[in-house]
Amino acid sequence: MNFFFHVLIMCGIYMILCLSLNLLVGFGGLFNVGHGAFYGIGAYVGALVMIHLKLPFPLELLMSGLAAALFGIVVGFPSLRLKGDYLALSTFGFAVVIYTVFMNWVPVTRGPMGIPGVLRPKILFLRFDSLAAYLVLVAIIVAISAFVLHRIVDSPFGKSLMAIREDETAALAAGKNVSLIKVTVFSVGAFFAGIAGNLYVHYVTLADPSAFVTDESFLIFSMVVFGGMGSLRGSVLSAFVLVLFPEVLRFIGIPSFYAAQIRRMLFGLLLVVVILKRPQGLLGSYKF
Amino acid sequence: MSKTSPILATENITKQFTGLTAVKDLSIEVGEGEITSIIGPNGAGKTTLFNLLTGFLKPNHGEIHFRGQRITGLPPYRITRLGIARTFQLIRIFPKLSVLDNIMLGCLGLKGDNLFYAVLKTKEIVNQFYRTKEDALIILETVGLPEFAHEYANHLSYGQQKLVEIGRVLASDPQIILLDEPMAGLSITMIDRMIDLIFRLKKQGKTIVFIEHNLGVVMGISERIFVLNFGQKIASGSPADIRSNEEVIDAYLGI
Amino acid sequence: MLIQLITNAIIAGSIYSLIAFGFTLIYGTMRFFNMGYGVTFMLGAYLFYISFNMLGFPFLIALGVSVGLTSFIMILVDHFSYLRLRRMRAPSWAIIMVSIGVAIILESLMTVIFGSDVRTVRTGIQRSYTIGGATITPNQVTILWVSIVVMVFLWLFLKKAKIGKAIRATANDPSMATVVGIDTEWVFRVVIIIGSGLACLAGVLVSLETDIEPSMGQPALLKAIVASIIGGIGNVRGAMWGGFFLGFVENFGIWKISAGWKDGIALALLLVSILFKPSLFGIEEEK
Repeated sequence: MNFFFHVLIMCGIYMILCLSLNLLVGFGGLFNVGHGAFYGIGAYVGALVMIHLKLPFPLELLMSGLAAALFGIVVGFPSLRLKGDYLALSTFGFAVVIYTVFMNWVPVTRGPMGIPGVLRPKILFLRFDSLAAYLVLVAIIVAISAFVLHRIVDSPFGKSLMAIREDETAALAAGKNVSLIKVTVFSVGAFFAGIAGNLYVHYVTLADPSAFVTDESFLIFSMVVFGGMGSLRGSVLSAFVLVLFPEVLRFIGIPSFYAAQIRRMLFGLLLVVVILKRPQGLLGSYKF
Repeated sequence: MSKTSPILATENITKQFTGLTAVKDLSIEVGEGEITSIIGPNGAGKTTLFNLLTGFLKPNHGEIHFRGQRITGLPPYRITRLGIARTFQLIRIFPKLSVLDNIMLGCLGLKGDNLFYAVLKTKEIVNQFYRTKEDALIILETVGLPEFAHEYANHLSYGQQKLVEIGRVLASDPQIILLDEPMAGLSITMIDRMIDLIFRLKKQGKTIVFIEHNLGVVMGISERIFVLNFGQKIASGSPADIRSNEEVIDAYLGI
Repeated sequence: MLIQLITNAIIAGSIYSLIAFGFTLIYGTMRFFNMGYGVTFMLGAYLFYISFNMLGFPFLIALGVSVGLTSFIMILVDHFSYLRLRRMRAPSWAIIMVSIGVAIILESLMTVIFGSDVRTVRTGIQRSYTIGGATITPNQVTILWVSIVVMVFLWLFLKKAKIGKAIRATANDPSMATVVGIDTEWVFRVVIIIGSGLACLAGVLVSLETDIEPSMGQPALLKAIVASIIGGIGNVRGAMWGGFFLGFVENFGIWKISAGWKDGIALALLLVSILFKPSLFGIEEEK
């Protein structure tokens, strides 16, 4: 039963990650290959705020999101000047730099040892210690995130974003402030990734750099591609399937080492096969 | 030429790229409510002029005024919001969005363009959406494509896509419409449709400026013509004036 | 001390130059940021390990086998994936992501086969020499002269040989190249072979000095990218200088900063530079 809760909690966290990355990549055509960095920033900020500032959980959660959003703005600026390839490269570079900071800024992040003691949160008198309770919390936040992101893509703002993806010059000519929209979207996407990071760190009760290696960014990207770029439902489905499958492998007794490598190979294969054979993924409509 | 001040005017604008002066000391005036055309051989600087007028390029020297207000150096989206909208020589539409979406995207000043309001989705936003949709459907009628509302824009023919682009321009309710080679690549029927559309827009009080190589159309519908060559104005006047202008004939024959 | 630092810098720089050369050659000719370049480097090292240490082939034969096999595998990969994408006129992000996928697949495959522990390419105990205050091993000398000779040779090849000119023409303007009768796909294949060969060679040379592990491709890729961009992306000569420059920055840098920060600092500096003056590195800005 605990396993069941564990899987669903991880599914929820990855759903938020995929939905937020899809906003950037699928709807906006902004190739962020370093989404894991925002995830990690949210996680570490959450851990540090909880331990050192002892703020109430909702405020702490918000701070994780805002810290990540701030970096989203920082990363958003190069997106204004750089062509697709170089944007992918610089977001990738950003993820490497952030990981390096996590691993080496020992006075703050405690390097490879990480920050333990990130207790399960409590809101007023409610404690979310048990897995079942935590799952409820995650589910609520996933629902809110999905709702907000859906509203965003369904609005004129969302349509402007898609217009930018299709033809930036035409969008400019149509009166859209392309630069503002791009930076805004980067920060919104980062915000939600930061939220996911906070949920993760409270779940495993430890902020640990190995969860935020560059591989993680590739993983999330491949989940978005698999689910379908430009399809929020696709991201939800994809996160569910692609978190479930490797966990099931571990459950049926495949040794952890092999399970981890098989999981990696699966994501690599997904990237290759989906893009080659069915670029629109499961539910997407974005083809080339 | 009308005696009132021009709605759009450039004063001695110059645009240089490394090794090439695309536009040199160019001064033109566009009369309000008139149909003006810009002609000249290839490479004369016509599209560069449009890019300068709409903020896609910044002039090295000179000023641009719209209703007396200085608009030199403003970014393209601001110029569109002021009421000057344009089409592109190689059409620019949103291929994987529906035709209706394409047109609705031209609409300016929506509350739903703001992120926070978009999430809140107030009644006002929903109403605005329906009104925008209605307006877009009317525009579709105007350009003659009502049956394609929900079709992907990239499924339409070239000529139809041109009309979609114009539809997007119309959605912003502009005062000045800049058309870059609107007749290029169109069949005779489509050209007639385009001319008809231009006249209807003029009747609505809009000012039209277009770049064109189809001299038959230019002579037929323009009230005023500017002739460019090597980035400079070599002639301007009514079709009759231009037709008999020696320099113009040289410029065209010399190519 | 200084001499030792300089020596270390030059040796590291020669490896970085090799991989930057290959990486930038591929980007310059095919406009392809090959994120699978790191695993090519790793693959080369492991194939050499198999041939030399496990199968006992003589050094040169093992080298030849690994270079040949690496290039062959990369041609296959290109044929079944990147080529298809080129035919589909896929956007560049698609090709980059597929190359990332390839890198992930190959790396995890090697991890499953060899485990994540390191392997050592045994070349016996080495006596080091001391020249002018710097200690250097014969292997390091090998790395130095092999890299330089190979790069000089390839540089001349690109400049003078007919194939080299075809490559440069394609890099300059692929559509024009087709017009003058160059088979661009063939040129791409040649470039992949050269690029893979360089990565493999670099991997082999590195294995003489350091233990190898499946994840060794990742830092290699980063170095190749950084050195290439420093030298001006697509510019082969620049990439070579970029490699040496990186070698110097790293070796003189760790003096003051701890090793862990090394990679991050170089990358951070590069990122900031791209942000503020992309044209310096030959990157076209939008609009």
